[in-house]
Amino acid sequence: MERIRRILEPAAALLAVGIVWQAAVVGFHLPSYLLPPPTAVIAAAVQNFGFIIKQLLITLGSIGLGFTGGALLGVATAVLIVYSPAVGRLIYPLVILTQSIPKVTIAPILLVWFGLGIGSKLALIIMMSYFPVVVNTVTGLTAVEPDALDLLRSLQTGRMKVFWLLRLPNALLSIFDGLKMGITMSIIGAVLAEFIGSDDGIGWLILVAKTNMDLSLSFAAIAFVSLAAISLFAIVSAAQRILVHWQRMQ
Amino acid sequence: MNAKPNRLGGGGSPLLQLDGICQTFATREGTSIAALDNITLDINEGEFLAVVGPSGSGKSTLMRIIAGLLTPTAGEIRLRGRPIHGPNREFGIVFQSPVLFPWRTVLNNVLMPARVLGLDAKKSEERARRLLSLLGIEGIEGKYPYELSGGMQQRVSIARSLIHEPSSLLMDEPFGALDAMTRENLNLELLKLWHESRKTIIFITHSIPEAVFLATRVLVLSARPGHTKGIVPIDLPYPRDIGMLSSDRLGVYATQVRALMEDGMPAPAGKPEVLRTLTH
Repeated sequence: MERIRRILEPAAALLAVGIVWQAAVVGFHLPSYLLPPPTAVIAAAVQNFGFIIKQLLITLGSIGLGFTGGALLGVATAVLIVYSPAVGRLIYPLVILTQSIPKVTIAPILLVWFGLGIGSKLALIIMMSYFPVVVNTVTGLTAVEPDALDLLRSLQTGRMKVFWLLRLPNALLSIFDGLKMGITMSIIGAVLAEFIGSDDGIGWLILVAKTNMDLSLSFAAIAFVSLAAISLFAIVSAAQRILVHWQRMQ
Repeated sequence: MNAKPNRLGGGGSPLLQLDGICQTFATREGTSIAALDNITLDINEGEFLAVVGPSGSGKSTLMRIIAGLLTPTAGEIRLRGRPIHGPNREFGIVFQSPVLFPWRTVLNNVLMPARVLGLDAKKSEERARRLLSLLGIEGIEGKYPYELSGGMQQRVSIARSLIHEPSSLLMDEPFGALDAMTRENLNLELLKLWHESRKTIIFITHSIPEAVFLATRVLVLSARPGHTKGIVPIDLPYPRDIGMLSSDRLGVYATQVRALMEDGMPAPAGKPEVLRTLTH
């Protein structure tokens, strides 16, 4: 019952927004090149369904690749920072420093370095997803109960075993928090890269449709990319709930 | 048995010998704080030694030194005559918090030391089940720590400390965070366990009644830097039952321990410490 309500209420709100939107467009005689009515957006989505999905899949493909790369690099960097204090002191301030640069500003430069298409796109996605993963993994790996470390030390546990037995499982919740941020950033990175230097992908489609004054198609593409973003976030959240099952009750 | 007649020790053969243990810690300001001052003591095989002292008397520091987790600034510890350097498998440790790994089931928590030490998996599992049932918590092997009460978690932690068959148990205020009822129950369980396993137990507490109720001897430490105020042998028969907590004989020992502890300490202003009941 509670579950159904949790789904029904936002759905009703969404429907209400759609009705108001439709009424406004019709009532104020807004031209569809300024604001297409929801019905036109739905029509555009149905009409171009195959094409939108094709572009979306291209974007999702690069997100999958870039996010995996960024996440793996992020976890690896974090382990290095935690396990080699000397390297950590060298790298970590740099990581924090570069993280505070708005990545959007580097996007045009990445275009120069990696060229149009998949290269610069992957570079941007990796950069966007890398930093939240590094920071959250470092936090998780270091936030270990001192008594738990003493317990393992009293058993003369080696560093590798301490990592697998204690530090990594202990960091899992935090790592997934980083991944949730990372996946959100990946989508932003992918669409942004497609805005500035790509000839395919959902971001490119939104831009091209706009240029052709076909805002209905732009809106349809935005709806699909939003749906994809929500789904990706939900997948990472679900993975977190399953893999970090003990955290639910704490 | 002892070359030095002035050593503080009971009868029997000493399992552990603490010889002039001192510990100082450096502070951030560059000064140093003395935590322990010249602790010399013999601990016998199979004895139940309670350690009491005011906050900051270095009780936990002493435990960490015995466990080999901390190297003393001066002095030496010998286990069966051999100096201890670093952690040693002869000890099982129980902390004030259960320190269970939340991602492991009860059984896998108890088995953790056995896995680390590479002990026989099958035998260890049998032993884990036996320990859990000895502690009165059979049937919860598959549960996760978050599903258990604080008292149950601490029982699991005690079972874990015994899985690799250490000769001694080091317990650092293990029942300090539990409610009075649970604490009394666990005191009784611990005595039963001690009786059946004949382990040497070093039990740190700041409850004088608890120390007197459990121990064969009570080591009283002074305020910082902790040094030996005295050792009170508790000449009460085992098995001890909860009725003894309010008995006169136990009260006499408790008063004796308290007198040692407060001797030379500034009187606690406004705090009716002396009048605190013996039954918690």
